[in-house]
Amino acid sequence: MTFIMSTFSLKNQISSTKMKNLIPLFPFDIQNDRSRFQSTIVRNQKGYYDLVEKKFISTQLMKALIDELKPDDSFQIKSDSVIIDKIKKRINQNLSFMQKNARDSYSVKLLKYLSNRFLSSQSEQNITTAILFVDIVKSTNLATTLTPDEMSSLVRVFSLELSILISKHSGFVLKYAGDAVIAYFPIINNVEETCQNAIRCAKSMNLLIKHAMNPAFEKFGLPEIKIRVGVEVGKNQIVFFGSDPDLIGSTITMAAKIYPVTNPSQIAIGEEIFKKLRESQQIQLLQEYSDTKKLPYTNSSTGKEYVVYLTKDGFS
Amino acid sequence: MSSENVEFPIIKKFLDIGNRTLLIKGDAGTGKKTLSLDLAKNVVKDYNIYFITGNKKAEMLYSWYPWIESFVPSENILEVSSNELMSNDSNFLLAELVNRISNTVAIVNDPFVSDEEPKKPFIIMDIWDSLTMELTPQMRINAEKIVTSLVDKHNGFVVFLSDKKETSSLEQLVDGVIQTSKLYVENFMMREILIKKLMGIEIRISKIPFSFRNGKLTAFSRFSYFNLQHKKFEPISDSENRFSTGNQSFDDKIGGGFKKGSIIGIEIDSDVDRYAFVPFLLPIVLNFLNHNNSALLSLSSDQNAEAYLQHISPHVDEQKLLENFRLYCHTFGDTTSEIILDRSNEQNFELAHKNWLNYYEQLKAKQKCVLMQVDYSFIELGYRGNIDQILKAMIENTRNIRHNKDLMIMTSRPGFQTLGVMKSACDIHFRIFDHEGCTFVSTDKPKLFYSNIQTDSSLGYPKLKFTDVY
Repeated sequence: MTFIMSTFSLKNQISSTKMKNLIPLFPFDIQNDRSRFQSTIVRNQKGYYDLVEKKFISTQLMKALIDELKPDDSFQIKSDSVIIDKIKKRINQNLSFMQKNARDSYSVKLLKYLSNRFLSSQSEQNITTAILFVDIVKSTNLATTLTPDEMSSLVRVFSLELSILISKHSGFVLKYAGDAVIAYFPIINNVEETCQNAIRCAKSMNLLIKHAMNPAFEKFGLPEIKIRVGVEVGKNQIVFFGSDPDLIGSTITMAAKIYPVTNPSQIAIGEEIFKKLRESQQIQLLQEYSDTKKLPYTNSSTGKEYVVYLTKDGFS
Repeated sequence: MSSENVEFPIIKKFLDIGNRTLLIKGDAGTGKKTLSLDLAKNVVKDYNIYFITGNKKAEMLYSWYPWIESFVPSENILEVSSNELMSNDSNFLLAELVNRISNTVAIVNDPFVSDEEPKKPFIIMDIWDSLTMELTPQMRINAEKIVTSLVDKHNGFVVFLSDKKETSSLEQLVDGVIQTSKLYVENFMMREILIKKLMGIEIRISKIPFSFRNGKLTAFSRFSYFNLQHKKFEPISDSENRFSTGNQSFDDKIGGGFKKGSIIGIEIDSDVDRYAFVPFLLPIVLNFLNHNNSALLSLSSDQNAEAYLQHISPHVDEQKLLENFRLYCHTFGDTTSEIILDRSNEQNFELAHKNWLNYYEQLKAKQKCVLMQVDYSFIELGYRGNIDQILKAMIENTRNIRHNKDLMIMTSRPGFQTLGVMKSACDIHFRIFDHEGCTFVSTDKPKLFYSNIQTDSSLGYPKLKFTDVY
């Protein structure tokens, strides 16, 4: 449905105090970004006109969207949780819809905007972040066995759900590269917490695939998928390609190198992220992790071969 | 089958291949608005429909066309009042309309599901004539360019409605031109869509007759044939004074059936598909036979009696057929039976008529009501030298039928002498004629109805389906 839009100033419509209660702080305080969101009323509903997407979203729906995406310290995917049921329902809905009309959902576009907005707002060019790489194992086989519509639906659902998960763990999607998603986790309070968020997110991803995504895929005749995830931490440089910000540097490069050494469903923890954890956390992690691998790269901080910690096979 | 609306596959194809503009021209009251809305209805999946009108409130349009409410929301009915038209420059008004359409926004309904493909504008310009009335040719061309640039920008489509005679500049600009008209074919009113131009589309049928009632169009299609499914015929009861036609909707049109003892005359134009008579006659025959009455049919010399019998036999008990059904026809000698009566050796009409009366008397001897059917144009062709006797026999047959309270269905064609006698003698005179490949039936005496006819074989046998012409 479309409606004729009428615009009003923000002051006239919604008091800023009220909005603060509704929407968490930066980067989710989108009502302050007048370059993108214009406060308006459409069909007697208050909301925002997204100048880039040329869409109206009601205040109520925007609040629900932000609630769904905003970071949550206690967020964790569990096998039999209400969250799994909710995600399954959403995946089913998207799979049935996408085969007819494969376009990104508004939430994916908003997440990309939030990431760009965060990077663009940084005063320093070099920032420390945890980097997470994830992709689908043997995606080439999938691409050759599925129809383009099926493959497109599968990748879109995969990207959407992982993006939401990344956001819930205080991260941002940096970019999508085919069936791979690259995310970064900025330091909000301290680096240790950031590293924990990235590792927790990697675990949640495996649980999401196993308990929500694969059962939904089965229902739609799509094959089961497995993922490989790698996480590392360190400094990265913000660069702009055109108007879109990006990250480059040794950390993002190493994160890209460590995840291919994993087996399906394994998580690879980089040497630097391991070192940033407290001792007790390291011990706990080593109990979960079965293996270490040395990569043919020199760790600039130790001068030795790069060490990667791998979870047990089939971790879930 | 006649369609519920004008589902023009070619128009859909015309849109799909990237055309942007269509002119629907025609006199007032010929169905331009209805046709444009009907086209819009078929593309709502991909388009947002806008109706730009002068002095017609949404409520008014909804009362005329209640079926558009679901796909033309009131906010998409943009009204330009006559005051605005008088006090503003046309190009300014057009720019204003462009802005209003450009400023529509899509709404996010669920941010977590795949986004809907943005719909393109489908604009029906009902005010084009008034908007461009006082423009110079150059200004009109500019106005046309403003609108076409709008649809180009939004990948949309615009339909211009015009009742002006002179539309040559617009016809050159647009990708398609369709004309609606109301005309008279002999004495019969006919509505017609004429497809004059559709860029990139091969036009095989350029004229489509249609009917127009309650703000809806019904396009007539060419006569369709049927596949027999051999379901059991469900007879319709005769009333005390009337024989049912075996087709409820036909009964309803003629006041409950044919009066007992009446003569039904059917004038069939020479260009009508001969098959059109089958769904007319067959349910009448089946109803007679299933009520244990009799039927005596005279086939023309080129008709195959066996094939004819195959239409009847699946729907009637064999015993009833043997007893009550007779086909008087030309055979090759090896197909005669109790039912199929060969007339190949009858060299003159006198003998043929004598035999005919004999068969009729045999059926009457069983105390049954008899349906008699004769195509007198073929009789006239077969016995050219006996026309006086044929005309006399027609009268004699009608006298027998009336006296015995039976039913006679006689047919003839324009150009035959028997037609005049048939028209005088019959109680109901049907006229079956063709227009642009579609078949129509009317009753000339008395005036009962005027309909397009099609075959309905949903019950396992062909019967007539009527769509009234308005």
